[in-house]
Amino acid sequence: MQNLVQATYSGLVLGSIYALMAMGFTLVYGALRFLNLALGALFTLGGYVAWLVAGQWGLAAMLGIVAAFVVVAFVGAGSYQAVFRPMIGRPGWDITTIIASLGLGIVIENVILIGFGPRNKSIPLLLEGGFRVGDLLRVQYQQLLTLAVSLVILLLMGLFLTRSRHGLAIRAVAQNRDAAYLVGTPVHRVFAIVMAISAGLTAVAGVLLSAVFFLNPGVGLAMGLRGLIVTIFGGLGSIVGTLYAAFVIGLLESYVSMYLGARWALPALFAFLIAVLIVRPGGIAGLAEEARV
Amino acid sequence: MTETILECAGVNRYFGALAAVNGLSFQVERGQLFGIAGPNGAGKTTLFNLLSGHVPASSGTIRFKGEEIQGLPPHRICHRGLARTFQIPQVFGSGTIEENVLVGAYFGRRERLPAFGFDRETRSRADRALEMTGLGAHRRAPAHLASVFDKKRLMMASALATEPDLLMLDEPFGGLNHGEIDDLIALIRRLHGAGLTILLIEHVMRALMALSERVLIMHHGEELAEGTPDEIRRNSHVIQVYLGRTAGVA
Amino acid sequence: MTARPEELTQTTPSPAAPVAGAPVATGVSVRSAGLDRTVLALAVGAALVAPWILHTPYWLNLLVLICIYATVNQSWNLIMGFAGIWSFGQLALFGVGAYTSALLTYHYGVSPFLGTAAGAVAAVLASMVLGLPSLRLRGAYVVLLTLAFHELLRNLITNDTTKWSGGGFGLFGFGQYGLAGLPQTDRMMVFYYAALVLLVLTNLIIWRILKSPLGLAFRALRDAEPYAVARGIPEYRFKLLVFAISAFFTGLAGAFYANFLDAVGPSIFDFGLMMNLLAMIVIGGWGTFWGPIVGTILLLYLNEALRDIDEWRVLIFGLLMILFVILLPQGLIRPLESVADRLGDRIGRRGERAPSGGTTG
Repeated sequence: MQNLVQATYSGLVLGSIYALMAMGFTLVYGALRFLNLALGALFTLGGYVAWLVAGQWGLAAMLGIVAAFVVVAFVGAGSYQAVFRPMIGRPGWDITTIIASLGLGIVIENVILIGFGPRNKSIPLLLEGGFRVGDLLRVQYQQLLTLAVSLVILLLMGLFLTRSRHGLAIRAVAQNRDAAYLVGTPVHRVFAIVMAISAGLTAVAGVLLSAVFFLNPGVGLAMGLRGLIVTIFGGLGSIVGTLYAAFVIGLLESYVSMYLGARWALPALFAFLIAVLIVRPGGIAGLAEEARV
Repeated sequence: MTETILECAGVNRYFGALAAVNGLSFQVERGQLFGIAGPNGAGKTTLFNLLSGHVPASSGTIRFKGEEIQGLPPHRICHRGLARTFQIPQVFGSGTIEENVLVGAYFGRRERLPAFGFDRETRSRADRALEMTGLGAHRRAPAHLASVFDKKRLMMASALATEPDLLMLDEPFGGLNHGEIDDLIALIRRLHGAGLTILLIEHVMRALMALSERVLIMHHGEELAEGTPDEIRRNSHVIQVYLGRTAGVA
Repeated sequence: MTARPEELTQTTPSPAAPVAGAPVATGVSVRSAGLDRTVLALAVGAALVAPWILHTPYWLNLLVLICIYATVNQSWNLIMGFAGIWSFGQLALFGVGAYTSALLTYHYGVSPFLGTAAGAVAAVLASMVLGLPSLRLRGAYVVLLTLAFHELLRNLITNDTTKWSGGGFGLFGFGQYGLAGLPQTDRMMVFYYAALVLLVLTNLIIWRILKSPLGLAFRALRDAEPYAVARGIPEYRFKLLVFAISAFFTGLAGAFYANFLDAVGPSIFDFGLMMNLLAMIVIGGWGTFWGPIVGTILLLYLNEALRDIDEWRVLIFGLLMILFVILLPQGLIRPLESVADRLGDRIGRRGERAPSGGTTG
């Protein structure tokens, strides 16, 4: 019983990080209709920015998170302007953008590798210690913080998308780009904002996860793939589906790790994913018509 | 000796709560030239998609040459002898005109795995289709550079290369000038005269009425009226709903 | 909806064609057939003679790698460039081939020749794991699925605590097809010619396929899928077929690779390697026949030339790839071909009989 509760709790924490990560993919796909594979590297970049700010320069840990968001958001918007914007609309752009994003991700990762070296670094935990809930559960404050930060950010994002002018513009563009363009929505600016937000979200996820585990140039890769799995499962472009999927995947991974061993987590996820895809090619709530050929 | 080649019975297609096709029933006889018309959004192209297998019917039966085909994938339906064209001219852009027709000629009725080359029969099927549609002279030209009219003829040629029992044409006259419309009418008459059964969706009433032996008018996914062109012209419902003031019927 | 890029076809500029960047018909230009044959003969000649000129283990190693990677790239090009299926599982399949052969020889003493064949078969089976769920999925989902598969394999092996797969350390010592006893240079020579045979065979078969009805079907499915299936092309069957064909040669190359290096490890799944391969195809010319080969030769050479700045190589290739994909998405082959055509024209005009026939009506 204790195992179950502990695993459930871990799964939820993990799920919240996955939600941040996967949200980046989903937002970009929903609005821009392409898969930004560079997000994994941006995840890593976020971690390193925070490490620089909070670890190396000794500033407040919270500042680290904020810095990560801001810096990487800039990188995201910048990459849109420099790399992706010229490509969108040209023949074959739906695959060439994916390839470009893959290249970009590897470039960023290698820059980090060259700049910071391959060894693990640790980000000073924002909160030390924890508490126990009777015999059932061991909770670390850092985990709670992770959960809290994730949920707050997701909530803020939800409000942004539904209430703010920019948010509405994003949703309009996601639903029907041409129509949005015709009614005067500054489509390219919207795209840049989406790229920036998705990059920022991913960066924060990077900080949070690295604070709990460790940081090296390769973390983005593993995480990126988890994020991808969540996105497939939840359905590309569906925010609600992605949220739901993130926690399901987080829990699944946690349970498998607890009861079968950590090394079976990914294979189990993959098998689960294939099963889901066979039954529902669009994931849970994805753009089903689009997913199905 | 008439034989029913295509039969729809209570065919429905729902998209969520919207019935794009609602309880449609009609029959097409072998050798007939059957026209389908209706206002935009009447469900005509959806009907074609149901017949060709691109969209599954929600319910109802579709019988082709006596056998049920609802639920079959498009390539199987093509193998059975039902070929269609598309409202927006489709083309295999990376190929030549000849290659476009070869696709139909080779794969149209083929159930076995492909071989390493195009056999003589395939090539003669393709040649015949090219001749019939008057594209023989341009066979080496890149298909994507073809004009709209040529693309439409090309679509028909590749359909004909499958040696279909039923040819379905989805609004072939759209966007053509008068001369091209006349050419196309002549081509369709030739094909019909040679014994081909044709199902024709068309907005251009002049062409539809001139060609069809029987006409079905659709409205909101349902049948509004069915009969000979004369009967349709005199049908008050049809006049009210569809022909209205634009009664430019030949 | 989104038009598949017409420039993703094997093309030679023809008189009626619009400027570069716009779609051109496929097919070999009759006009430059003579030139094509000359170039081909030269290339074959160079390939046969190269190992005697570059007769050191260092260069021979590079030559073998060129052949192996070019095989993989051509296979990847078949499924992604010609058939239009966005599978990023190619490297994973390469790894499957390598590991299958390695494991069979290492643990069960299976002859490496048999192991190599088994590697090809295993890769085909693995491609079905990718292909079957992919059938009903649209583009981006296939990318995700195949990447996830890649990571799954890498993860399984790296975290293998039983060490049966060699874990993080890998496996080694498979006998190198019985050639281990030979002096190094001689051994490399044999490997080179074997690799060359692999490359030529793969390319010959893929070339035949592209020219065959099946090749036409792949292009049709890529160009306009609803139209293609309406003309009788069995979509699912052919998609699985292209997965299988592509995987077969890749698995074969992977097994050969493991035996050549006499070692295999999870580094075979490095994303840096995947990106290098992708860069070779993109820079060479994606969706063309010669592009992958040219790209492989070019980038592997560049790789060696940049040996000194080891850590920057991946970075540079990544940047190159991005640049090409933005500025020159058709790769180098098209500009090279048009230069060659113009040269051929000038030679043709200098008194030789002009080749007969045109390409366009």
